Amino acid sequence: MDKNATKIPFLLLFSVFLVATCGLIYELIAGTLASYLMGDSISQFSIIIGLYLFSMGIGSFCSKYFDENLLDWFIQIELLVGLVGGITSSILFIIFNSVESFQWILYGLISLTGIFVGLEIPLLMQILNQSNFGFKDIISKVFTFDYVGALLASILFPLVFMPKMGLIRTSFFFGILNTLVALLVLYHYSKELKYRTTLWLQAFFVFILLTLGFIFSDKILSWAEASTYDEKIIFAKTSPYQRIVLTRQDNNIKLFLNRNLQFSSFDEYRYHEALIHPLMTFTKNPEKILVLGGGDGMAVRELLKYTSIKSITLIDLDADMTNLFRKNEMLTRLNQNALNNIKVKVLNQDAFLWIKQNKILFDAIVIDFPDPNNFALGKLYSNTFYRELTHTLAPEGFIVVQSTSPFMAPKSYWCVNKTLQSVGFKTLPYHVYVPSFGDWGYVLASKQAFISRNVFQRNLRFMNDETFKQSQFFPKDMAQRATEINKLNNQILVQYFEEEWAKVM
Amino acid sequence: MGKSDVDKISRKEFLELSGLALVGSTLGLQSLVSCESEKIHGKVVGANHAIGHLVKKAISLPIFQSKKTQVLIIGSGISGLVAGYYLQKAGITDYEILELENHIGGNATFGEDAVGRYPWAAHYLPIPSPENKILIDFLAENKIITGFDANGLPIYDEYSLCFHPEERLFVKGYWQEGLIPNLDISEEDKTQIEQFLAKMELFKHARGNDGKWAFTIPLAYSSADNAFTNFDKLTMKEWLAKEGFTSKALLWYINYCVLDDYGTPLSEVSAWAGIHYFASRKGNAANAKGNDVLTWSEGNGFLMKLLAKNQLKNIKTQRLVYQIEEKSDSVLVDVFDWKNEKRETYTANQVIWAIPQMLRPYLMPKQASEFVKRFSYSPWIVANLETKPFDSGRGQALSWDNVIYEGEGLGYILANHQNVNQGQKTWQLTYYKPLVREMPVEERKKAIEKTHENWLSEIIADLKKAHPKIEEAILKMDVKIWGHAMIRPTVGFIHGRERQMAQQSLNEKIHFAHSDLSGVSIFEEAFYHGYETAKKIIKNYANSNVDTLAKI
Ligand SMILES: Cc1cc2nc3c(=O)[nH]c(=O)nc-3n(C[C@H](O)[C@H](O)[C@H](O)COP(=O)(O)OP(=O)(O)OC[C@H]3O[C@@H](n4cnc5c(N)ncnc54)[C@H](O)[C@@H]3O)c2cc1C
Repeated sequence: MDKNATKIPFLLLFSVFLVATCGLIYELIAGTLASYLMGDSISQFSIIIGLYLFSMGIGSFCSKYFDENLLDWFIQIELLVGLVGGITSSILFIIFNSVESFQWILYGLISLTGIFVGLEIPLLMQILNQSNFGFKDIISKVFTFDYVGALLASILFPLVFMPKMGLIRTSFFFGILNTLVALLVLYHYSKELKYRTTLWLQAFFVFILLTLGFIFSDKILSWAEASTYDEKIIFAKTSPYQRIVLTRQDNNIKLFLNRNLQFSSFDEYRYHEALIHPLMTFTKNPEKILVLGGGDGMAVRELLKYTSIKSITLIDLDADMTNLFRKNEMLTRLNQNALNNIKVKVLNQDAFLWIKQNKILFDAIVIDFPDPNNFALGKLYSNTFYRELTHTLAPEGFIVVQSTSPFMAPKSYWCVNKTLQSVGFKTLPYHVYVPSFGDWGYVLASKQAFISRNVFQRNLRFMNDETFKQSQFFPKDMAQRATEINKLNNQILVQYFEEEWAKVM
Repeated sequence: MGKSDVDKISRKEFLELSGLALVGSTLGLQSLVSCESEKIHGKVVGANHAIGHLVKKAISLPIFQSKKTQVLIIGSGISGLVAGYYLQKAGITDYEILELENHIGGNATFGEDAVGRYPWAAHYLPIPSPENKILIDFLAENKIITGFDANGLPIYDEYSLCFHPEERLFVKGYWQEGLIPNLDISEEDKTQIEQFLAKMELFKHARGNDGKWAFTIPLAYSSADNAFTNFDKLTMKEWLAKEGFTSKALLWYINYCVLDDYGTPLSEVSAWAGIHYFASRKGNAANAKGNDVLTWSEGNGFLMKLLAKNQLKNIKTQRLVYQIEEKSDSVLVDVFDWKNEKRETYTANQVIWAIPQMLRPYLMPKQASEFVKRFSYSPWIVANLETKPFDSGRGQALSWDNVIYEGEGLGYILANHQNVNQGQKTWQLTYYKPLVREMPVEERKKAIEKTHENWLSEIIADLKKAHPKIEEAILKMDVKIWGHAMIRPTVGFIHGRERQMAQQSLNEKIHFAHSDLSGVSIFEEAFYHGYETAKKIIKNYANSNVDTLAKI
């Protein structure tokens, strides 16, 4: 080593350190985001790390094509790293809702960051090399700072930045750091730079953009739905009718429609057994069954346990939903491939319109619509709709209606009961506890008396005579109360539902 | 009528005939303007100059065909269709209905496309009062009333009763429930509104010294007691001032109401008509509130179809009636089939005039009809917009009727409100606006000159007050100009001589039925006059045959 060699300027070494820290942070953010949004963290992390390192390799390789104005390039790339790294997570969060090829955009952005970061260190080494510094010194110092930066990043990210700032803000924060370094270098070496004006302008632009992003990151997050789920999203699609999201935590799969939980694989058997089997004990000889809603096929799975059933017609508006539960292997495992059974006919039609024109009589009707949280859905709980059902139900037939929670929304629940009675049905209200939902209610309805005609199947996990008997008892806090009848021209149920859930949410 | 008759029409008369151009109706075929702006497509269908040319053409042609019919009904609006409906019910099938347009229904016409149906003008019918027996019977015959409960209250078809939420008003950035302003108003406003409504409630239950309701529908059943009819001598504005009503919010609301039903502002509408709006409706039902309304996606087009469905073969469209002449034992009616460019002449025993009175001097120039000058009509525009779903604003959810406080127009109704299916991806909005800035004649002129783009930007500007982003959501907008949309119940008109004179049949041969005879342009009045003329005809037609009369 040349004793006279000038000391390597601290500023440049500090930039190495920061570039390394930021680079690793971007990688960690990308990995976290990928596993968070797409599930399967092991493969996502390993793909991201591999891709990132490989892209850095590409960057390093390309560095040899840079010969002139190295310092200009260095600043330029520093700014690009800051910009791309800083906004990547916001972009990914926002487009996740709407883009089909989400993964490829993710991988593209990661590669871009990797390439830029990969360019930085070799460029810096070249700059130093052109000056009078000893080669050994360069190598040792640069890599020391590089690895120290990496260590710092990997410790601070999970301990400080993720919990304190969250993904989006952290990205912006490091983007800003990157830009600040670029600004410092710019300032310090301003005279030696050829494209100084352009670089100043760029630097300011990037700085302002990222600072705004940092300030408004909460807003960005609220646009981006992904942050509202506690678990990892493994599937998301916007069908013409609703937003379908599947999440997974360990072995528990949850389905959300428009952000409302539809089932959790961990306890859905309770919900679906309670929905189907009491109905089946009353229906004398169930052959033809109609299911309205329930595109996940779980209710059909329970129905298929009855050999007497000859045909099941399932009406669900959303073809995306029924296709998903017909084709996705993980989901067909959950519904035991029910929707592909030859006894099952799936019609993707509007339930109200279908019922209005239908002429076929069914022995039992299962109604599993989403809760009445808007006026469109409220129509499916109206006396008019129930009256139409009377033309679809065989005289001996029975109906079951999922009727929201009698604990959280007692008026809503009893309103469904009353509305069914108002069109001439006898009803039998009951409720069960489903841990992920809470106390959940159903109403059985029929023109017939409720005389048990069949026994509960033996192989059920939850429902039996005892449980069903208990479930018909309503403690004081959810006991029957007076309500109006839900009609198309009062939509009183939606009003009750909003009032009651507003209280508990 | 021979070929020489052509010459009988003098140049002056011809010019008068051209006055037909002022008919509020529109020729579907020859829409006046049909321009497409760059972003939002659509067309303007409007008051047409073409009719003058049609008449000119007609009188230049030889008579192609002479026809005979017992009864000829001119106009297929609600009044004409009702007349036919009851003739047919009484077993009279030898009648024809002639309609100028290429479609039936007049002010109850509707549009239809892939997305759905939407009204072009009349869009609702309030639940009728029990006194309106014929209308209640009609509704029951057509399953809009599905039965009667133990107390005799009608049970209405639930698909026809307006779904909830019904009405909302946009005030200061927020949609409140109902149209009576209640948001952010002073105590004084509140008190005055209450007092006004209480007063109207009194009028609603008031009876005259002849024992009749002071205000009711059909208007003809109302009391002749001076105590009430005197209200026809001053404007609603004057009456409100006299009563000490000064609240801005209240006056806005009342003005909104009279514009909505009469297309006539407070400053011109008579106080009798103004009070009638609030006090005449006494509807009741087993399954609805007294002030609920019946509505369908095609508006009153739904009722119109019910009226027309059994008499379609009696209706001829694209027929302009341009001259009516009374003979000793019949009526001669000259008709131009403008589609096929053929001139026809009808000899009818009796004629029902179910078109506006203002046409009398043109079609029956020999008859004295000075009184027709008192018939004044307000121009309207109706726009139908197709939109993508848009942010419908804070407060009450998107409703059937959506009104903007101090807006330019009367707001919009959601034509697809009565659909029961989920996930509507296209919305249909029907926007209403009476043209009342200047007098009707000026407004009519201005309206005809406007382009699609003019209307579009005007309407968007109005809607933007409540929906800043609506422009991006609009897929298409069609506009219709109704040159003579509604009769104006100005001071002295309803209880004046002229309106009475206009209702007199001519020698028991020509009977008058259009809703303008009431001075109030609503479905019930068109229905009433259609029914009354049918009754007269039936009486004349088979004077001896009591059975026929008993049937209806
Ligand atoms: C914008 C608007 C909104 C309205 N909204 C409502 C509402 O919500 N509820 C309500 O009750 N009422 C409403 N109305 C009032 C409506 O006018 C009446 O309800 C009713 O439809 C009137 O029927 P009619 O038969 O009296 O007249 P019209 O509907 O005027 O019928 C007259 C018919 O005669 C035809 N005709 C005219 N001249 C000739 C000729 N020379 N030869 C042959 N045919 C001819 C016309 O084309 C037309 O079809 C509205 C009106 C308008 C304009």
